[in-house]
Amino acid sequence: MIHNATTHTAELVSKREVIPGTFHFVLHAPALARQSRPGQFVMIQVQDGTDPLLRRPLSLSGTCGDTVELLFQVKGRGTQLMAAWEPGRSVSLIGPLGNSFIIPDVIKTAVLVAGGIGAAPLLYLAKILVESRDLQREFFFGAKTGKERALVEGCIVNEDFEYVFVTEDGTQKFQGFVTDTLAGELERKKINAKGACIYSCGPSSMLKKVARIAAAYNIPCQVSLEAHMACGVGACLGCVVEARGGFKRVCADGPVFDSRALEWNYD
Amino acid sequence: MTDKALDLSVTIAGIRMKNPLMVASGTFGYGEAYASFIDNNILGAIVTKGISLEPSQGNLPPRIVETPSGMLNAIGLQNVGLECFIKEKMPYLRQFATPVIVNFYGTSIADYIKLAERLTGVDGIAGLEANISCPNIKEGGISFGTDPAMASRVTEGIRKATTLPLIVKLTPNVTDIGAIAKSVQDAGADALSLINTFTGMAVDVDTCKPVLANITGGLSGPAIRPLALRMVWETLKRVSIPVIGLGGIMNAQDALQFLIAGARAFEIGTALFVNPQAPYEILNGIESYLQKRNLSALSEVIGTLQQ
Ligand SMILES: Cc1cc2nc3c(=O)[nH]c(=O)nc-3n(C[C@H](O)[C@H](O)[C@H](O)COP(=O)(O)OP(=O)(O)OC[C@H]3O[C@@H](n4cnc5c(N)ncnc54)[C@H](O)[C@@H]3O)c2cc1C
Ligand SMILES: Cc1cc2nc3c(=O)[nH]c(=O)nc-3n(C[C@H](O)[C@H](O)[C@H](O)COP(=O)(O)O)c2cc1C
Ligand code: FES
Repeated sequence: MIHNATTHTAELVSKREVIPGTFHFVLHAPALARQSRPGQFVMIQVQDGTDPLLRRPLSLSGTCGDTVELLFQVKGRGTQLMAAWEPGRSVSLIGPLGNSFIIPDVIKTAVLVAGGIGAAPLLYLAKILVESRDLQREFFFGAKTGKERALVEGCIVNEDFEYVFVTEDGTQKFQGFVTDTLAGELERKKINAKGACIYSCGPSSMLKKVARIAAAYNIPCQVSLEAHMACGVGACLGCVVEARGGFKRVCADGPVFDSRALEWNYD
Repeated sequence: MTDKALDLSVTIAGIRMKNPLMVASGTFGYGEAYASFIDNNILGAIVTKGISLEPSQGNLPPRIVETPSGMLNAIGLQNVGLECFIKEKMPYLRQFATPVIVNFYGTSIADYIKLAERLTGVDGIAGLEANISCPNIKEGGISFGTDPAMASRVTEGIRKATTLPLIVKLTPNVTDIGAIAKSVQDAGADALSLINTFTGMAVDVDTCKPVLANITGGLSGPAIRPLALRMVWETLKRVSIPVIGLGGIMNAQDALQFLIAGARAFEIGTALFVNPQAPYEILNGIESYLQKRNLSALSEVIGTLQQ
């Protein structure tokens, strides 16, 4: 068996609009919460009926006891409909799906690099990483505006991570793209191949640059990818990405890939 | 409700199935993808992802896009190839008490013949489903399934190459499906399955580019169901071999429409993506339908269309 996913009927316990257009959901789904690991995702049914037809893939942004958390941005019709859900609603989820981030035993420094809503799976990882002692923890967060800091702040205890906020609007210490700052900060903080690991999720253009920087510093790097999905379980071959040695399914072979295993020839 | 044991079994081209629910090619992998959701033993039959002589990479992504009540796919028939399928996929498939029907395709009649010959005699294969929606590279790239003469020739070739039950899967991208069906029957097919996907397209208005890297893709899902049903009904007027209906079946009501129209069995594809529990729900729904009407066998429903 390649995964242990099943269909779960979860109850939406709480809903919070973290910043305009981005929502945090807490769902009661004990079996799912027990089985999930950071990096994994769910396929969520938007509503009964046939339009929208397909389930939407969303990363788990955390688990807590019997609940799982989602952090999502309104993009199109499906997420728009979800934004109108009220607590108490019953929701159909398939999960846990996909592989997960790997935390090596010898890890000394974890560098998380998130772009916008790409923070979602990294928040889950961060919550697991704070449980390890003797670990240097860095959280690079790139966004359009300073307001988006709210996506990561409050989700994890501040003292556990060193934060670097980089925004395009210039309201933070660093202005521009997170990848403009990453290399310099790795140098300054003397983070190198020895025991360091980069974990990244965000737009593909950002991931490509993160992968290049990781390669330049010889730091292992795991990236979480997105692709349009139909089944989410590896059956349809709709979600493939170009990897060394042929196409890989983002849903079943990923969504987390070693950056060196991918062909970085998209945009 | 009655306690009468219900008989949902059907026989197609000599393949005995405990019920009429088959999973469609390309939507169930090689039988493993839904293992955590579905006990493969409850299925009437498993149709595997279309295989070719050599492994195929398939098309570049993006490969899928959602459309109103449907989806377009341009997977490009990515598959592990004939030998890998036999060696690595069949051992898994063989363990279930469910007939395995192997879907296959070629780009020349010779390909189809070689595939059929090699698959014949492989332990655990109950039958073949020939996908003839593919282009005939040797003859100008027109799909085998869109021309009655070409459909007939490829069917005849496969027929001579195998003793296994032969199902030919028809493309709906034709003007007269009945004519194609008739010529495939006359060329020796044991059964027909229809429909494959309708060719469609979607454009991204922001980039002014096609959404799919392949430009066009195959439309599946509830959007095509009424068209599929009409084509099954039309086909049944022209042939006497069993017909397997598919296209957009999501629930028991949908499946019953095909059965009542005369399909002896049905396949579900896109429904699995939306609801992996669909096989259970559909079978339960069919049972309740029989019970409500005080019927004991599915055969009392098939082809009961009143016109
Ligand atoms: C593994 C994975 C994890 C994800 N995790 C998150 C998350 O934690 N938070 C979050 O906000 N978003 C996440 N996304 C993106 C999210 O799936 C899309 O934003 C969402 O599907 C958009 O649906 P829609 O109906 O609002 O948009 P529409 O554009 O109307 O959707 C139309 C179709 O395109 C698909 N689609 C559109 N954009 C994307 C996209 N970026 N990725 C994949 N499919 C897309 C939809 O699923 C649907 O099938 C994730 C995607 C993947 C693949
Ligand atoms: C992702 C995907 C892959 C498919 N691959 C194949 C294939 O390899 N061979 C084939 O004959 N049909 C293939 N089909 C067509 C289906 O088997 C089926 O004919 C079609 O989807 C209509 O049924 P549905 O609406 O229930 O999905 C594929 C369909 C989808 C959606
Ligand atoms: S979404 Fe179907 S294989 Fe990945």
